[in-house]
Amino acid sequence: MSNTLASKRDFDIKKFLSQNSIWLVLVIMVIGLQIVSPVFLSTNNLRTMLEGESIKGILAFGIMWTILSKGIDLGAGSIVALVSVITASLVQPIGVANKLFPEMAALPGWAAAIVGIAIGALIGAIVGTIIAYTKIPPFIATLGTQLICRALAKIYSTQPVSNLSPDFRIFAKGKLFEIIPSIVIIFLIIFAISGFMLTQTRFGKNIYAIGGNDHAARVAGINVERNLIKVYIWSAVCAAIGGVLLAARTGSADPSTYGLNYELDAIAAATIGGTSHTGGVARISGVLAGILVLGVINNGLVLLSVDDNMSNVIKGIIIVGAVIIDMRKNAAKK
Amino acid sequence: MKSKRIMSLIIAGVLSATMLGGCGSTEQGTSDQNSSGESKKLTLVMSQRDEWLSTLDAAAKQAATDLGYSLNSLDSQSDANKQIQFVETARNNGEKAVIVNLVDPNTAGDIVEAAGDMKVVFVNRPPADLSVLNENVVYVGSNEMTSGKFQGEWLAQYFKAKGQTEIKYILLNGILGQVSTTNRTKSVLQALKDNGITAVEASAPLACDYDRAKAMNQIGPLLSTGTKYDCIISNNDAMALGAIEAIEQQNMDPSEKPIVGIDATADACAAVKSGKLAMSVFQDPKGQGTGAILAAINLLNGKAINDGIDYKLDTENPNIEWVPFEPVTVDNVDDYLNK
Repeated sequence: MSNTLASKRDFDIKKFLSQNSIWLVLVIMVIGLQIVSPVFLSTNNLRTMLEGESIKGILAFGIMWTILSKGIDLGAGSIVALVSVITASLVQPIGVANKLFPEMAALPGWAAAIVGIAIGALIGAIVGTIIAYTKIPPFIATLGTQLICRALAKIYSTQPVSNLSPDFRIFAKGKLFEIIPSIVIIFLIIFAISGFMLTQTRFGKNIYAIGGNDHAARVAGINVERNLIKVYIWSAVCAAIGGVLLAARTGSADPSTYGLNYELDAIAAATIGGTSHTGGVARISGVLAGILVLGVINNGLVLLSVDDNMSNVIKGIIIVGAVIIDMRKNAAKK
Repeated sequence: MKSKRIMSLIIAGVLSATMLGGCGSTEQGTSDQNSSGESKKLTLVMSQRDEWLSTLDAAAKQAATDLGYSLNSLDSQSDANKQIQFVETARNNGEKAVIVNLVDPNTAGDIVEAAGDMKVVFVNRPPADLSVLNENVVYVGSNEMTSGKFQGEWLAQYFKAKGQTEIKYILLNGILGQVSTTNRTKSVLQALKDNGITAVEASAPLACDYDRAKAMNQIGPLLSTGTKYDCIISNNDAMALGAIEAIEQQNMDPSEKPIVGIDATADACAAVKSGKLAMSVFQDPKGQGTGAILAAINLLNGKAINDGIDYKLDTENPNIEWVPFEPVTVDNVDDYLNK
């Protein structure tokens, strides 16, 4: 075991550049953009970009685990919607317009957030259990979550839930040292937790093993089912945090549009960042770069007045290109 | 092998950077010509781009070009978060005014906050809380309470001419909870009442999400079970056309009982012309697009927002500009067929 780890570390150093190629792409894009539009690297603009990408980024730090385990999570965007609507309904002060429960006093912001995250964890546990024990493809199981959670959100409220209390909105609108938005800090915390679990815990190593070869992992004594359930709980918890933050950032929660297609952007970020859909390969720094690359594209097109359809063309090319490179890399390994 | 891979990556990076830059610099070239001293750039942030909103978008672009401005139009793809981000980015870029077609009317306050010193023109979808409007933040759109009114008035006239004052209607609702759905339904029923018609539902109200196929599926069973009704009221044309489709599938004649829609889409105008659709109500996307651009430029120049255009301000709130709805019937449909 220690032997393989050592040789793996050796391998990493050799392939450092090719492994971190996405960072290279990012740097080139940043330099190019800065030359054409000097406002790009201004504090305000960087803050805008990070604030905007934080929610999808948090989703990506969850979804990358499902991809690493050779699965996928298509339900994340709908979990965002469901959790945002539920938590929003808990923090509407009495007397505001469109209050969903007119008689109920608002919960403290942190309590509502915990309720939201707990709901996410519950959904993740259910989906994870179904995937682990029935062995149905995660694509199908999470497609089910997507449909059900979106519908539940719409049943829960037929209209946007708005006028949320300030002590809830602080999660997205607060600022550390008057400059770093709290939403970005939460994004960095999730990045750190996800990275720590991935590299420093048995759980993380187990998921690499399961994604690489689940039979071998089972033979090696790993409880595949339990680990898979944990993966889907984590992914759903990340989505739930995203839902809480989305409601806090916009001050509203619309069951029909919130979180729509967020899972696809998160999957794109994870994929661009080198998370392999054949399982067993993922790097947290790569995913971070993937998120930033998408952020730079989104931001750059506005600064440069590019037709926004063009940005989707560029995104599409980068995603497909990243997967082609990724597959060649992995093929070379085998 | 490895260096080749890295090379290809660098090329990919350079390519995407130049793609971004390349597209941008052509745009900038034109805007540079326009900008004499101050920036003549405007940003329009759309909620999405369906057929109707795309028409608004195109008209806005045209109006901006005609007035010597360059318009950057962005699609939020129904994402309220992205919309706020676009507005902030426009501000960071030093632009002076932004036109916003809201994804979620409840986020209007945050949009205004994100816009900072920029002038804000909301177009088509009004803020949920109109108190965000002021001399720097205005709304240009059509009053949804009048669209249903035209339907109601037309139906009242139709039934009175037949000597009928009690009617049963089937109601095709848009997306429940949306302001447009609520107001369209409320105003048509109110107009019927105001004109002395007692209207009762022939069925439970059907929620068809403004969708043609959903309307077809929901109205089909009502027809085959022989539900008695006098007219079909639809919150938009797509659902009205779905109803016509369903009626024709049952080998019935859609012109027998009046069906009324809203939007006056090209398909709907053709249906009005052939008599299948009794009437529709025209909501003017070009008028709203042009009106919004003009309002933004007027704000920048310190003029009244409806300066230079024939639209009226709201009688109570001078920060609202109304683009009128127009009823479309067989008598005037030719005017709208190519609009």
